[in-house]
Amino acid sequence: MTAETIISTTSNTTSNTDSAVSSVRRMLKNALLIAVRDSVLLNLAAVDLLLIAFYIGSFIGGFLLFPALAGEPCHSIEEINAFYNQHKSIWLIVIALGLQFFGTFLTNYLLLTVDSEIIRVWNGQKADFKRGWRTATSHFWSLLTWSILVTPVNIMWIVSMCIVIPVLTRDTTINPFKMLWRSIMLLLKIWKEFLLGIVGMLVILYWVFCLVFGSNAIFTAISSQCPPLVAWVLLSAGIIFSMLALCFCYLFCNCYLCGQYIKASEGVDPSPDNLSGELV
Amino acid sequence: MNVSEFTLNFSSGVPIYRQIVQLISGKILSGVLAPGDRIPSIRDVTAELNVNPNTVAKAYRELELGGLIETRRGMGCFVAETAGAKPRLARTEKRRRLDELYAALVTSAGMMGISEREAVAYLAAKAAEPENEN
Repeated sequence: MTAETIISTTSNTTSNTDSAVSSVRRMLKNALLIAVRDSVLLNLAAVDLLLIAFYIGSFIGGFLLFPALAGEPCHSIEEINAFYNQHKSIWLIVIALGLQFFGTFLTNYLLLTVDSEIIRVWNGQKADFKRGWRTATSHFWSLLTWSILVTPVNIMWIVSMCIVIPVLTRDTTINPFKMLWRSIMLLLKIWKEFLLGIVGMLVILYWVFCLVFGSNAIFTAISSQCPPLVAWVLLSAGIIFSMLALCFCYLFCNCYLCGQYIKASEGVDPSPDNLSGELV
Repeated sequence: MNVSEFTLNFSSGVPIYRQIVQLISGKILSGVLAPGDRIPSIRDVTAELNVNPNTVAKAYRELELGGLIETRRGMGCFVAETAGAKPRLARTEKRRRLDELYAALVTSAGMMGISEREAVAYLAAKAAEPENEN
């Protein structure tokens, strides 16, 4: 008996009659439904993305600000590189690491806010802005220790988004290694559906981006032949549409990942409504 | 029985629906819940414990199939009145729990690099020890 068969028999996550493909298809459909249906979640995702964008903006701004403050304003990436190579110091490294840590913490915090509310919506409740923030705040120490662990490794944000943060919504451990271990153990239960789902998610994201780029190309083509005022309106509409599509993609990915987490931890395919009508 | 009596462990690795089944069946088989006692509704459990309605529905369905609880339309879920079902169910439940414990043991042993054969040999040796004979 292998560990894999034991896990599958004990968790009973995939029944014999229900294939992984149909389970993933159902989950993707439900994730789309949640992302489209709950406007509070979309607002929450939009606020999160705005804050992350603000942070990235200030991070880049900070890089440009240091040379300007030192009286050597930079106008290209080469100049910035040259400046930081010349002024390499322990303080600069500490500041850069501090900023990176803050960014990681902020991203994880916001992700937890969204994920906790997504799980509520999966469980048939309404999303609530304040409750999401409260949940994330109650996991402050867990988020802090996890952020300390992942700060030096940039790629770890993918691990955070995909497996750790959904688990943290209902786990209070402050040991980051334990968090990672538990997340991996949960992921092993549904690895087949997880991989299939990533492919399905990428296909959906591809079509959304095709739609966005296609519509933006049409907007640009039309606006070049219109009076300036109409052109501005069209371009603004294109930008707003792109931003909305970005928020939707972010939300949809998180909805799907949270759905997979529920399936792994609860042992049942979740759905936002009890479709069997058995609510007693 | 109140929802507050439900204690679920999200980090144990045991699926939540199975934890609910074990919790309620444990209470019924140990006599804490008597035939006719009311079980919290799916809606209450879902709202209180932040678990998916399908999870609670699956747990209740399993309990119902096992003859431990019954659903009365429009009234809710109750411990089944079925007489004589308890000893038979107790055996199947015992068997199921032993299967789960065995699977968990083999998984944990495998993670530590101990093979299933070694784990079983250890259990056999442990059972043969004089203090375990009674």
